[in-house]
Amino acid sequence: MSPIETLSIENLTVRFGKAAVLDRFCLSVPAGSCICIMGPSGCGKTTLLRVMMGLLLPDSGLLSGFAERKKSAVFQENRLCENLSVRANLRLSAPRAEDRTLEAALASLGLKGFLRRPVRTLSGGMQRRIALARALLADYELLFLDEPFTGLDGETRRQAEDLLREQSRGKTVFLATHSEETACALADQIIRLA
Amino acid sequence: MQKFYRRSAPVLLSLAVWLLLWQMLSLRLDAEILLPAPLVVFRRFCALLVTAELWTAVLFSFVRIAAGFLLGLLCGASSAALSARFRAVKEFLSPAMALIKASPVASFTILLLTWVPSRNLSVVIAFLMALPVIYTNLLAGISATDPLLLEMADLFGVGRLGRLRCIYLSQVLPFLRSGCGLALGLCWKAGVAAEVIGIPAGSIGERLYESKIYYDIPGLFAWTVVIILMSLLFGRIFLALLDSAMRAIERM
Repeated sequence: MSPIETLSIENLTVRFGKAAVLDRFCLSVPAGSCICIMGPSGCGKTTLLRVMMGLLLPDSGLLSGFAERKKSAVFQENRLCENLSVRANLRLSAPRAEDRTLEAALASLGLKGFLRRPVRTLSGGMQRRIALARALLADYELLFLDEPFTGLDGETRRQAEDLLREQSRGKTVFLATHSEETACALADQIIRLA
Repeated sequence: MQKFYRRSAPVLLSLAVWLLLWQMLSLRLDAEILLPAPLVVFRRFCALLVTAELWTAVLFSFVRIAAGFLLGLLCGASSAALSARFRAVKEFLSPAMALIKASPVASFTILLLTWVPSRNLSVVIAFLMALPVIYTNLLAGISATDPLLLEMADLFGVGRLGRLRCIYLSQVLPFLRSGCGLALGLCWKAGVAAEVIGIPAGSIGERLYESKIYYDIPGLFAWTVVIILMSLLFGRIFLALLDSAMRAIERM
């Protein structure tokens, strides 16, 4: 992917009933950068991410550069198969990855030795890190992160931010967050939705 | 070991109380033809254990009831999968399943006696008992599959096999387990009842029928114990196999 390529959104409108969550929203960002989307609850951060991921059809507007690129995500919810092992969950995004690759990804998030554990036996913070590891293990060009560090303590959060910065180098990242600290640590560009 | 005793003690105690009540009632009635004492039934059961008659009857009924159950499991699972995928199939099957569930076993048995040889009656009846239970439970399980997980699978491009194994199977197996637990008990009850009506030679049902004809009440009790033990044993083994399949999927 050439670094001069851009991803753009023109006049994006999404309505839920009569209320427009996004109204003629426009955006143009260079590929390979980290864009933080900030704003109060209900302002449309998750909706915008879902439209960009191709999971929600907008009422109107034009998106270019999104559909043809491989995507990965940490959703607002963990979306893990709780009855399965951590390994089975990680293999959903990286089916051909070897166990040592999966182990290394877990170790870098402070979860060494958890590969065979059923997800349901892990705490909320651990499950959030599994969701993050799953997203980073995928083969992607666009990474969508919806409040990815929810439930993580200060130290773990910094560890996860460092890993994200290192692993997503050269990839385009869209990060929805309430945290100014996270935005300052990771973003090349900050977009504030009202 | 202590844990085992702590768990088993209340069960054994309640069993002892029920046996005592049974013994007291049989002493009070003082008529074997009305209610034989537990010891009489136990002796009769022990006597049955060393006869070839018992084992051939057990084999006869077990093979047919188990076959009917497994057939019901297979058809119930595949029709539930089709119903979840195609609304038209669900709408087509739903009155039939409701009808099978609501109809008395005796009606089916009498009707089927004109179509099916009596020796195979319990296969069809066990099948009819298992089918709607498995179908309903599995359909509920598939319908309860988390749409957010399916959306996640879409984003990561998870293939059909991966979805089946990781999303559907892991969510549906607990529903399948409860369906099988329920269906297994029903299959034995209804299967033996069908044999009592159809009286196929060499079946457990035929032995129960003979107990009725000859007023052999201790024999009736002893054969009932055999049916309960068979039902429990088959149920335990089948559910243990299902549990190990669930654990294997968890460890994947």
